[in-house]
Amino acid sequence: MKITIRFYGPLDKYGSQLGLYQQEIKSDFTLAQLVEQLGVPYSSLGLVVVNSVKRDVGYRLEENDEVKFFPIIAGG
Amino acid sequence: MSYTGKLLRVNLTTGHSQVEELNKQWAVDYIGGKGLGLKYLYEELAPGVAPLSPDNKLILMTGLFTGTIIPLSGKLAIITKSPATGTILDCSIGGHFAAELKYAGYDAVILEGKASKPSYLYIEDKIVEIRDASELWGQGAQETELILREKINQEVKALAIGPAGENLVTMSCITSEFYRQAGRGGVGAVMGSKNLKAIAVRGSGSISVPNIKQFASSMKEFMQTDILTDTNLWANTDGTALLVDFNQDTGILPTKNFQQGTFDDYQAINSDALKAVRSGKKGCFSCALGCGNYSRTGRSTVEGPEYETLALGGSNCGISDLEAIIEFNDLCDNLGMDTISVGNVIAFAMELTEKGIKDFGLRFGDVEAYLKIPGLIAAQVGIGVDLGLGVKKLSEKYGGSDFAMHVKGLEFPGYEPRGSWGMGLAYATSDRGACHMRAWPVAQEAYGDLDAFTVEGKAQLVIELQHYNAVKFSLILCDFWALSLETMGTIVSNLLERTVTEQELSQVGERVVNLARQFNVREGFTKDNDTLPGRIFKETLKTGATKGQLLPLEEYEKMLAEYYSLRGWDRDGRPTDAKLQELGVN
Ligand code: SF4
Repeated sequence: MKITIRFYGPLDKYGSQLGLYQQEIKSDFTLAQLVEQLGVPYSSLGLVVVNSVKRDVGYRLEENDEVKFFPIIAGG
Repeated sequence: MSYTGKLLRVNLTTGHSQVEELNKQWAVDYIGGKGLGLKYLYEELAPGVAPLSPDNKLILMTGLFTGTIIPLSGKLAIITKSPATGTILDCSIGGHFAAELKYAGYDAVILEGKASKPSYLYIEDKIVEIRDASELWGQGAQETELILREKINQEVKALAIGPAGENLVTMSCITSEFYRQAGRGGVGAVMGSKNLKAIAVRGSGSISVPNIKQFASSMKEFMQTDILTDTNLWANTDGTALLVDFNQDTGILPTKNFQQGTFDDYQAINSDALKAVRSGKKGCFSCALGCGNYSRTGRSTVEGPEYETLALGGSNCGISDLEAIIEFNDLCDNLGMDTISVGNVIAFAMELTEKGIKDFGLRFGDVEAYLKIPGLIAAQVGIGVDLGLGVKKLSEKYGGSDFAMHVKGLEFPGYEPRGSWGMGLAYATSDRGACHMRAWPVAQEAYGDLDAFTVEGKAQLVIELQHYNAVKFSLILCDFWALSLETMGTIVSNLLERTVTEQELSQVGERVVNLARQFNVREGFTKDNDTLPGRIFKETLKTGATKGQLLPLEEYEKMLAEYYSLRGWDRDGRPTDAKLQELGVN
């Protein structure tokens, strides 16, 4: 199935570096499996948002989900 | 030794200046920056002094790290009593001024009294002169720096105020290197009240550190393993503008005077939009991250806009025209005003107008009217006189206190507390009014794993973050290096050649927080001032991830009571004698 991915800030290097991009994934895939497949270290991962809702890595992805990976951030 | 051990005291009334020994015991107890400046102010300022009177003092404080190659250590702390809030006030400002002051031979400068005519202070090593500033008076903060560079030397480092500070506007800031500000609480007005337009410094000395070889190699290592990492590099790739998307997705992006937590047009004002007009980058002294991004449009060039300006001057005013926000930023910078407070007061006036309470001729999204306001406030003409009062006093004059978004007279930064309940507590208990730099639980709540909509565990979290930040701002380091207390301890130990543990540092943080609280208690602040505007307790948000949320008053009160109790303060929020004794605060 198809999902849309966006990496922010320094995490861009784990994605296509093209902003939003589409990716084919197996059905019955969790966010944790996606993170592993993309090679993103958990220690670098701040917020993960799917369709504008904050999700933990146990979330099961669905067709056409829009997944955003934000870095950890300090200070405001 | 990385302290110079010298403090310069300048009395602007008499024109007399003298060099004093830095109080060594205080430097041990409070380190430098925020903490040490606060200690001096606490000891030297009588309670009840009017912030804009000659009796108030303005303290410039460097830190143990200033002038060394320790990364992100280029900031200067400015401490005074705030004309906006009447509380203690400390701001930190980036650029190169702090290091230059240290090279001139001083850890700190204390400014007292009031010059008889517009003046600027010139410091070059042992030369200290109060000079005539009649040709600078009336100039923008940026023009003032340009003229000083022309007159003195292109390398001179300066702090300057714009017309807003001269006109004693309590949302005026102090500027350095054109685009860096000590923004909040009216520090610029304190300078203006002293007839002091600028402070210019040149230094030819140096700072020594022990075991220089080992020191340099450990700094190199920190750079690789702790700074140029995924955890900090957002500051370089995007800067704070990245927070627009974070906050939109977590429903805490202030919109239309905090009526909503999401902004339909957020993509017009986010980091991606800014990258299209980015024209260069800049960093402070000793900083490899260089979070400053220049933006250029047909009308203006600024360093920024930072997230706070995009939020408070953008979504919170219903403005999605990025060029207009950049122009607003440019105007505020040169006039010498804090974009957070100016954005807030405009948004408040827009809501007062739309609700029919008082017609300021301002409406959400009206770019033309919005861009006129900074000039009117700075010059104190037309509706600028009212708006220059700030949100608190404006609500006292015309009403709307439930949606006057401030704490103790300082306007809200760009994080909606209904989507980060700990942030509500952090605003309410911050020493200078609503501030995101005393504790920022947003990272753990809105973005992290903690439940944002509960008070459980939040008092403890806010306390720990307040201690951490108090240490960071006393050292004085930039907020954007996410280093651990343990790492801070390692660097401090190397410099002082004695072991300073993470627990000791945390206790310094606690001492600083308690001293700041004592200052405010002495000025008459009570539990009643540790609160939030009615909107937060009564109105639910309507959109996004925070839809349906408010912070129930009884929950807030529970969290505040727990906070006092964990702090060892009494039920009215006063530090107990036992707590003060334990910390050595008297
Ligand atoms: S991260 Fe930005 S504000 Fe902090 S020291 Fe570096 S350039 Fe200055």
